[in-house]
Amino acid sequence: MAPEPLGLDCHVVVRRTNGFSLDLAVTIQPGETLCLLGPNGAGKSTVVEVVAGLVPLDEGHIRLNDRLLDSTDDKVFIPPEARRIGVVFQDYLLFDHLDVLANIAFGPTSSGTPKRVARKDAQGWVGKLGLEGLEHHKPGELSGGQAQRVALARALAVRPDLLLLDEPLAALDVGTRNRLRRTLGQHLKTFEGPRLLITHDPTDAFLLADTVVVLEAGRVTQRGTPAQIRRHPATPYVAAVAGTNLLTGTNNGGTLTIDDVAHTLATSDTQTGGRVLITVHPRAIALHPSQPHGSPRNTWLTSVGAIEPLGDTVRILLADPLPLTADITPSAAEALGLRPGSPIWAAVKATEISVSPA
Amino acid sequence: MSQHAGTKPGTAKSRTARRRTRRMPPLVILLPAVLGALLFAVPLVGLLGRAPWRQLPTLITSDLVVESIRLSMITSLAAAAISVILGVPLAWVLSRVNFPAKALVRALVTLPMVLPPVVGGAALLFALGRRGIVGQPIYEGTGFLLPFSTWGVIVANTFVAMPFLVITVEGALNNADRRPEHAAATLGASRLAVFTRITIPAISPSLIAGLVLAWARALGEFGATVTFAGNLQGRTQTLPLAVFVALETDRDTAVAISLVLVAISLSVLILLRDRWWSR
Repeated sequence: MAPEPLGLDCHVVVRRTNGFSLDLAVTIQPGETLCLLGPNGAGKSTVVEVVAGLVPLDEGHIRLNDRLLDSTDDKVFIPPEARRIGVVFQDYLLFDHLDVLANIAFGPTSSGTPKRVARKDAQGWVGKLGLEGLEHHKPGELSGGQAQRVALARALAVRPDLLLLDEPLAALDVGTRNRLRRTLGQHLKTFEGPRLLITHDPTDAFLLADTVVVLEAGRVTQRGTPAQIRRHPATPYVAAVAGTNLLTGTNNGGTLTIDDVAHTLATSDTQTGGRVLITVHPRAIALHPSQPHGSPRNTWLTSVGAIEPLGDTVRILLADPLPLTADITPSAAEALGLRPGSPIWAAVKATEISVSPA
Repeated sequence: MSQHAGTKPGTAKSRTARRRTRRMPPLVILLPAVLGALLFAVPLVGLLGRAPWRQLPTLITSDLVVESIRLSMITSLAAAAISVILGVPLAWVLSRVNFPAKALVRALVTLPMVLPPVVGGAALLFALGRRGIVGQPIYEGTGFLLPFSTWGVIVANTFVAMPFLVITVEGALNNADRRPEHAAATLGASRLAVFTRITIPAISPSLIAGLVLAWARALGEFGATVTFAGNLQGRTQTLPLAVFVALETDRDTAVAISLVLVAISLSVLILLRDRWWSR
C-alpha cells in the first residue's frame, strides 16, 4: 500500500437550514501556507469550525497526515481535543483567569504533561516569541500584538499537526497590523506542518500565503499563487480586493526605491521612512498615449502586458519596469487603441501612493 | 468625564445638569418608595428597641442558643456544600445537554422555590420517612432513619436551598461565552477538563452568588425542617425553630436569637459588599 500523503487533505460540505451551503476542497503540504480569502459571509468561520472539530461535516472528509479526522462515508468523527490542530482564534480567546505562562502551558497539561515540565516548555515558547518579562501578566494586561503571540505560542505548544489561524491580524489596529504581519510570517515559517490561514484581508493573503484559495458564498471561485490571483482575478470580488497594487521598497523622504526594479516613485508621505509597503489603487493610474505634462509627479513609459475585461472596467496589466495594474473604462481602452505590447505612458499622483511601515 | 474641552466648571450647561438632579421625584413614585423602604427598616428598629441589651451576653451563651447556633451552622453549611456538589453538575446538564423532558426537570428543580416549605417537608416525609417509598427500604436494610435526625435537617435545607444555586449557575452557564471552551478543547482538554479549568473559573462570581443565596436560604429554613425533622433541641432545633419556640415561652431569648441571625446575615452582606454592591 502506498503511504498516505502528508499534510491536510479535506473536502468539507456543510449545509445550513437558511439555505447557505459550503463546499470546499483543499490540500496543504507540510511547510505550505494556504490562505483562504473571502468576504464576510463566505463561510470562512464555518471552515474553522469544521476543521477544528467544533462542528461535524455534513458530507466529505478531513484527513491530516495519516489520520482520518472526520468522514461521513466512514462514519468517523474525531473530537476537537484529539485532533492535534493548533488554532489561533480571532480575538485570540486567551484564558483571562490564567497568566501568560499558564495559557501557553494549558495544552500540554491538558494532555497529561506534568505541570512542571509544561511550564518549563512554555518558558521556551516565551523566548521563541519574544514574550520575556510577560510570563506572569494576565491577558487583560497585554497589547494586541503580545496577545497574538501568546495565542500563537499556546497553539504551537501542543506540537500540532496543523496550524489554523483565523483572522490572526483582524483584532489589531492598522499600523500594528502591518508591522506584525511580517513577524507573524517569520513565526509561521518556523512551523513545519501545513498552515491554514483564514482572512478577509487581501494583504494578509498576498504577503503570507504560498497558495491562495478564494471563497465566495461557500464556493471556491479561484485558486493559485498570490501572483497568479493578482494578475488574473477571476471574479469582481477578487478583482476588487486583488487589484490593489502592492509593492515593497524603501522610503527616503518621499522618494520610494522599489525592491528588485531599478525605478523610483514619489509619494506625498515623507514621514513613514525605512522599509515600507506601497499600495496604489488601479483606478489611480492614468494611461496616456504620449508623455503627460500635468500635475502627476510620477510618469513613466511602459508597455501593455495584457488586457482583461472586468465587467464595466478593463484591467490593463503593465509590463516593465513596474508590475502594476491599471483599471480604465472600455471606451478609454478603445480610444487608446491598446493591444498587448503597445507602448504607453503611465501617470500617478504622489498623493495616490500610500505607504505603511513594512 | 464627558466634559468638552474648553468648558469650564460652572458654565450654563453644568449648572442646568446639577439643578436637574436636585429636582423632587414625582410624589406618586416617592411615597410608595419610602413606604417600601420603611417596611424593611421598621421591623429591624422594633427588634433593636425590644432587645434586652444588658442580659444579651448571658442569653446568647445559654445552652439552648449555643446548641442551635452550632446546629444551624453545621446544617446550613452542609446544605450549601451539597447544593454545590449536586447543583453545579445539574445546572451544567440543564444548560449544556439536550434531552427530552428537560423543561419538566427544570420545573421540578425550581418547584421548591414556590412550593410552601411545609408541603415540601411533608413530601420529604412521605418519601424518606419510615414507611416512605425510599425511606422504608433504607430503614429495613440499615436501620437508618432520616426524619427527626440532624441529617434530616440537612436534607430539608438542601431541598429548599439548592434551587437558588441551580438557577443562578444555569443562568451564568447559558450566558457564558462558549468560545474559550472551544479554544480549550482544541488544545486537547477533555470535556471534564474544560468544565473544571475554564467553565468553573469563568462563572465563579455567579457560583459564589448562588452559594451564598443557597446558604442564606438554608440558614433561615423553617417549614420543611419542622415538618420533616421535627423540633428536637440539640438535634434538629435550628436557630429559626428556636426563635419560634422561645416566642411562646421566653421573649427575651427569642429577641436575642433573632439578633444573632441578623448579625450573621449582616456580616455576610458586608463580606460580599465588594462583589455585589460596588458593581
